[in-house]
Amino acid sequence: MVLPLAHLGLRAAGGEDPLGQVLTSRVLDLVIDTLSLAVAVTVLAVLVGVGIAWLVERSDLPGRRILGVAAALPLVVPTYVGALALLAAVGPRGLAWEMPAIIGFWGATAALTLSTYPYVLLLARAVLRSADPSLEEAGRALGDTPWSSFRRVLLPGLRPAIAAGGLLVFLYVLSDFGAVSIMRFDTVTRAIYVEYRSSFDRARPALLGLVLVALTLAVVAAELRLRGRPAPTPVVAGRRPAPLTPLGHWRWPAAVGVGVIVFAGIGIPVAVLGYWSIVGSSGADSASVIARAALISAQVSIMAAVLAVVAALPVAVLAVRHRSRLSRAVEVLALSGYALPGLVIALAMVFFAARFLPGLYQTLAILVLAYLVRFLPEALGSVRSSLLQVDPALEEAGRSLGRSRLSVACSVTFPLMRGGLLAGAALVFLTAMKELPATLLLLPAGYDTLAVRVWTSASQGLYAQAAPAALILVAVTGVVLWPLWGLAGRRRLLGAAPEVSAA
Amino acid sequence: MSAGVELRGVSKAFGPVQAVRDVDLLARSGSLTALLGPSGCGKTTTLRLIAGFEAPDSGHVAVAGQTVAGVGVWVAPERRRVGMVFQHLALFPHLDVAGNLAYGLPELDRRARRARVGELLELVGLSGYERRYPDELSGGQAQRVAVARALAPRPAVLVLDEPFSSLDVGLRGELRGEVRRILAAEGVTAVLVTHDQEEALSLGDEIMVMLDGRVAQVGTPDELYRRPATPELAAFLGEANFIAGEARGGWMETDLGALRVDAGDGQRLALVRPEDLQLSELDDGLGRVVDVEYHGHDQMVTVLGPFGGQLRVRLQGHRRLQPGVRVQVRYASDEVMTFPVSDSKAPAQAFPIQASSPAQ
Ligand SMILES: Nc1ncnc2c1ncn2[C@@H]1O[C@H](COP(=O)(O)OP(=O)(O)OP(=O)(O)O)[C@@H](O)[C@H]1O
Ligand SMILES: [Mg+2]
Repeated sequence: MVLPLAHLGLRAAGGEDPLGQVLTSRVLDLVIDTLSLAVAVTVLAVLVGVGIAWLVERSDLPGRRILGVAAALPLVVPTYVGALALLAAVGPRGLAWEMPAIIGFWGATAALTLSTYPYVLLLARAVLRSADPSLEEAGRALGDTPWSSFRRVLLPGLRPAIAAGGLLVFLYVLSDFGAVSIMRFDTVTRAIYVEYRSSFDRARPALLGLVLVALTLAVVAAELRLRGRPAPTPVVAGRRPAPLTPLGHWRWPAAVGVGVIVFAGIGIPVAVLGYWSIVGSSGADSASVIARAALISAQVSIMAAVLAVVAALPVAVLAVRHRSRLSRAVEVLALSGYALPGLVIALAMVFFAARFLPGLYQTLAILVLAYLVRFLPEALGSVRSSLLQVDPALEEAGRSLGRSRLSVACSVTFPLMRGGLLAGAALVFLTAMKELPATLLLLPAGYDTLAVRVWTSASQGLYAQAAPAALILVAVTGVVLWPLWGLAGRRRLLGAAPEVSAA
Repeated sequence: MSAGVELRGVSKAFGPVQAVRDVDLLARSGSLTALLGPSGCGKTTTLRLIAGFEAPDSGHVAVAGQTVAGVGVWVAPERRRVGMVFQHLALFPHLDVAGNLAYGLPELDRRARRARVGELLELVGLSGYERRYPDELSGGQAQRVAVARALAPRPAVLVLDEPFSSLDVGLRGELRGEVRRILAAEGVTAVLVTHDQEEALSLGDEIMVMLDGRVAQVGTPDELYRRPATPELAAFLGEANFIAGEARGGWMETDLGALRVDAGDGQRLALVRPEDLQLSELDDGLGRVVDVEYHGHDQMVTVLGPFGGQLRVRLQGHRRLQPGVRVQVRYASDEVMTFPVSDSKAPAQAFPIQASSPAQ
């Protein structure tokens, strides 16, 4: 974690007049543009995510079950694929109709919102599901209207989920490279990549990298303050389900609204990709190329997922069961991967591997390592919250029955955490499959992942050529995630599966 | 008569909170000690010190004659042979009943393990429930599984933290008797935490009352009920009337008449239990019934005396009295126990000292 920062510092200082360069109007413009995009997307994603979560969990929305499942699906669509599809459907010379304004800020906002709101949705849903309805009833009994009970009882309960989800989305936007490139909207991340690729001046990208890290750190700090004290919601057995709020006249309009959003998030990409794949293109990747790329993608992502969860376990155990200054420090260090955009990690990895570990450079291992640093926080979030739900008395019961600490961990704690472990692995897998900037920089010559295949074609404007690989990417991710989520939600796993959970 | 559990001068603080202060406890091997006290007085902490989930700041702990915690000694919980029944049972939700019972028997071969599980299920009356999961058990059944699980590895000592608190009253009584029988059958030394005095009195061979982290009194149930160390304890263990008066020559003159006392001359506070009083309806009685708590088998009657003091009287097998009835109250036992008046700190406010009733 320290390495990337040190690297950036060194590199940036090596350039001429670093401060002067930061303060150029171009950099300031970039920062302002990036922040406006991130704020717009975060606000929209929180509104959409919390709104849909409440509609499918707590209202009598028609088709709430199906819409609930479908609304999470855009998670498997990488931002660049979503952006591509949006552009193809409604952009200039679009397949459906033309909305040229979609290029630039609004296009990037739409594409990013559609592919990030599911993070907020899943977090908010988990809270709404586990929140004790008698709290709301207590509020109602004390004279709250449905709206004020939402505001005064549910919203405070949702605050940690909103903060965590909002942070996830915000950081996602800061580090996104694909969607902004396709929508031709310049952000800091895009500028770093372009400069890194197009010039030999290594100081400028490093400097921009530091700017990005500073932005990210500021946001993480803000989130930590906003998050407040996480209220553990004990899972009460045999609880009644929450009563549904009747929507009245709004039932159907609300359903249509949710349907439109879900369609834009998952329907449009699948339809566009499907259409292109069928129409075909002379330069399309052959089946064997795609299959090979799919294999590499899956291999690297699965390795990253397993490693991230394995690495997160001891950190979580330290943080939850052995609170101390040291364990807190370890946790913060592990979480700091959040604050480092993929591109920054990749730059640092290239630099250090090339210099100190030449054997590692140009291997898949370095890519897996970068994923690990980058995605450890995501795994840690899931692992930690599932550990929090394991009653320490269970572990003490195990000890008092004569079993050692380790034996109790393997026979009680880990089995009970299985849901959370699987959810964490699923989340890392999903994000690694879609990851683009670090992959582009670190993938050894001669290898391709699905994400890189899609990007290579799409960045040259050959959309139809990119379609089959993109479709396979969406399909593979969906197919792998489906059983994982099913397993994670299974009985006797205590529902210890917060579907997605940030740190 | 060897010691099953011994605590000597044990203290434990959590930051600024002194949870347990200088506690001594000696539980005979095979006996059941009830740890009684109000919420937050350090009962759970004491159990956890015995089980090895907390380390004492000072003092030492011995289990079955062997020091397990003390200066330079520390035995891990899994090596102490102390079983624990947790307040919320802590049954493993991912294991069925048989799996829970077998958890503490890893070193047995499969056959022996099966046999022990069968034996335990029979002991707690749950044969045939092997394949049920904890969430498929009733409260009482889960309770019995928790006790059986703790007994499985044949611990020297069993500690139970409010094991019946989550059960309804009827079930509680039934299980109390059963747990007593099970513990006796296994011959295990038990320490049981409760804040229900009735439970402590009916279950314990010995009772240790804790107040604010300290041992307030240790003794048999009878000793504690008949000869509490302070008025405070008397009030804590059951209903009590306190009557102040002056003792002279072995007698004390009160509104209840002259009572024979156990002390020398001076101001004393007499402890009069409600069941030691007799009450008769009398049209010109000086007492008036102001409140009746009817329990069926008996009733607790509050009587207002002529000088404004109140007395609580337990009346057995009598038809229900109506408030307003005039009555006469009489002390119906031989000697009363008294406290020196300087002792009468807390209960003086909570209980009427100036209790009075018709003079005879
Ligand atoms: N791990 C801990 N950290 C800080 N304080 C603690 C801890 N455990 C107990 N205490 C404090 O020590 C005191 C005694 O707690 P303990 O749990 O032993 O009480 P108790 O007699 O079991 O109460 P109850 O009947 O309510 O269960 C309390 O003031 C409690 O707040
Ligand atoms: Mg307790």
